[in-house]
Amino acid sequence: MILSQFAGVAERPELRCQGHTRESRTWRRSSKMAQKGDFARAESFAIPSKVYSMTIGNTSSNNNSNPPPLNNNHSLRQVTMARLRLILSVGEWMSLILNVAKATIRRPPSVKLVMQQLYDIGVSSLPVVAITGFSTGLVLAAQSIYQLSDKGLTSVTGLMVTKAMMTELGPVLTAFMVTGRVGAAMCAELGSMVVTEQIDALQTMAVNPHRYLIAPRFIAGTLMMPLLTVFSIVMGIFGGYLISVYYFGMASNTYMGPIPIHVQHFDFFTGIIKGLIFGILIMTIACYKGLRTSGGAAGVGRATTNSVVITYVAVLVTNFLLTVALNVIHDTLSRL
Amino acid sequence: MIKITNLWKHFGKIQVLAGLNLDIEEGETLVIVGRSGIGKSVLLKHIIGLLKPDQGSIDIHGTRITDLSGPELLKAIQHMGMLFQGSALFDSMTVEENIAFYLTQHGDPETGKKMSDKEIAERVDYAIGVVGLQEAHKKMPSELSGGMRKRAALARLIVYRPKIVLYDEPTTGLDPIIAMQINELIVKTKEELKATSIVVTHDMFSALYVGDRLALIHDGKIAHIAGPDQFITIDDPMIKQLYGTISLDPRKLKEKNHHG
Repeated sequence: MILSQFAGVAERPELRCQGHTRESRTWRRSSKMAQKGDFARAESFAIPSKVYSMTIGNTSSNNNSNPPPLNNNHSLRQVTMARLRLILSVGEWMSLILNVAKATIRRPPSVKLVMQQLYDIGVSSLPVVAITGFSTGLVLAAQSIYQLSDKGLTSVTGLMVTKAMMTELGPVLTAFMVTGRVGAAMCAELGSMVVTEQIDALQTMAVNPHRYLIAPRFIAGTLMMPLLTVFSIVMGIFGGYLISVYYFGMASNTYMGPIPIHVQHFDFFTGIIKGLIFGILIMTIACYKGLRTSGGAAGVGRATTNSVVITYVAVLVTNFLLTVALNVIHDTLSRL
Repeated sequence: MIKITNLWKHFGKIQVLAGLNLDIEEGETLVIVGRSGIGKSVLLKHIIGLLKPDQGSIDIHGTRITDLSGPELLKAIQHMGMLFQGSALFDSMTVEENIAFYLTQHGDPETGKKMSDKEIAERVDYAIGVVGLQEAHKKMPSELSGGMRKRAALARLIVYRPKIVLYDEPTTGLDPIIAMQINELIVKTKEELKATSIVVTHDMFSALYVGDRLALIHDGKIAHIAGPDQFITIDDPMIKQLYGTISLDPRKLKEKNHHG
């Protein structure tokens, strides 16, 4: 009935204005309800506006534009639910961090468990982080020599590799490798522990899973990521040095000389701070997705994929925000 | 001793428990029977605090377990244990480490004192002896058969001598001979620990073998509760159906279903 009513409006241009007013009013009512948390009612009120946008599409089809495929209240409900789920997930993720922090402060996890995780996360990741850092430094130096040699700017190669590795590539690529190697495995392990009731079993034996399983991973991941980042930066500079000096025949001093002059403490700390924050992100997202796993083996696969994708996106977004924020802070401080 | 009052729980649109009331006496073995997926395991998980009810309460020795959370809840369930349907052994540890887990975490269950490795090893050996798993000391759970995993999980309970033991479908998925061994172990454990046991199962043979009292759960409530002898005489189609699975000669049943 509503559909025909609005279709009528579309056919009679003189009524469109009225239809529009009605539509905006409907939206206002629905958004007010949504604010009050009455989503079911908000949805029911939001339906006509959807229908109306459809009729507008139909009228403009006279001008050879295809109307978008129409659907209904269902897609709106899906969008609303998806947003709600996102907000809920972020809330749950933060509450997990809080609970783990509380459990850790109340009674720190055993040193043995933390050491085990430090080894699993840190030492085992060294080869993959080394290869990533080294090859990135290698191509970065090679590319900059190829690109800059005709402009006579090859002397900036060492400085460029160092600054790029320290501020951006080192932390981000290390975060990506650790997410793929450690985060995914951690999420899958916790997920399979959930679906085989091992986490429940821990609890029935009066052991807090946050303290026993999650806290050691949080602590080890947060400590290890800055160290791995530094390692990756060093490997990158080393890779760049090798190719510049031994392949392109650059003088060792041309590559290394400008580094101590132009690289500031700030560049180094940017890498460390980013590594630390990425470490927190990787561990918390992997543990959160792992603990929220449901639906058997397929659920474990889904949770792991989600955890990796979400971490990648979170790292990229956070990296951008950190780059801006750290530079603004640095500029402000240096002006004082 | 365990008093469950007006317990309600729903998952999505499914009302699993609907005002369930149940009293469990100290030292008895109560078996809760009913068809799969009607909330038997959900009830167990409420008793040990893994799930919170929508409404209602569970009191254990006067402590309202349903009001507790965090460290208080963990403290309250320290003398309880649960045997999971899939055994839930920690697959990153050997059988021995699994069984020793509680003792390494909490120390001596009676005194709370830290135990030496030798004391722990003695207790673990004893528990392994009770369930007859001597050959599996150093094995990983993935190397064990279903029946052996169940026995290892049972040893993990026996080792800390819980006062209340919950069994979730202890014989499901096992062959009849191993299932009988598990039944025997449940009886033995009860005698050994003097514990209150709650067994959830749809295996009527097991229920009648181990139970002091049997309760039928239906529509989210306890429909009937009685001793084994009385229970099988109750005029309820569900009980008849469940009891029928073990009291009928399968050959006669087949004849009836296919030729009669």
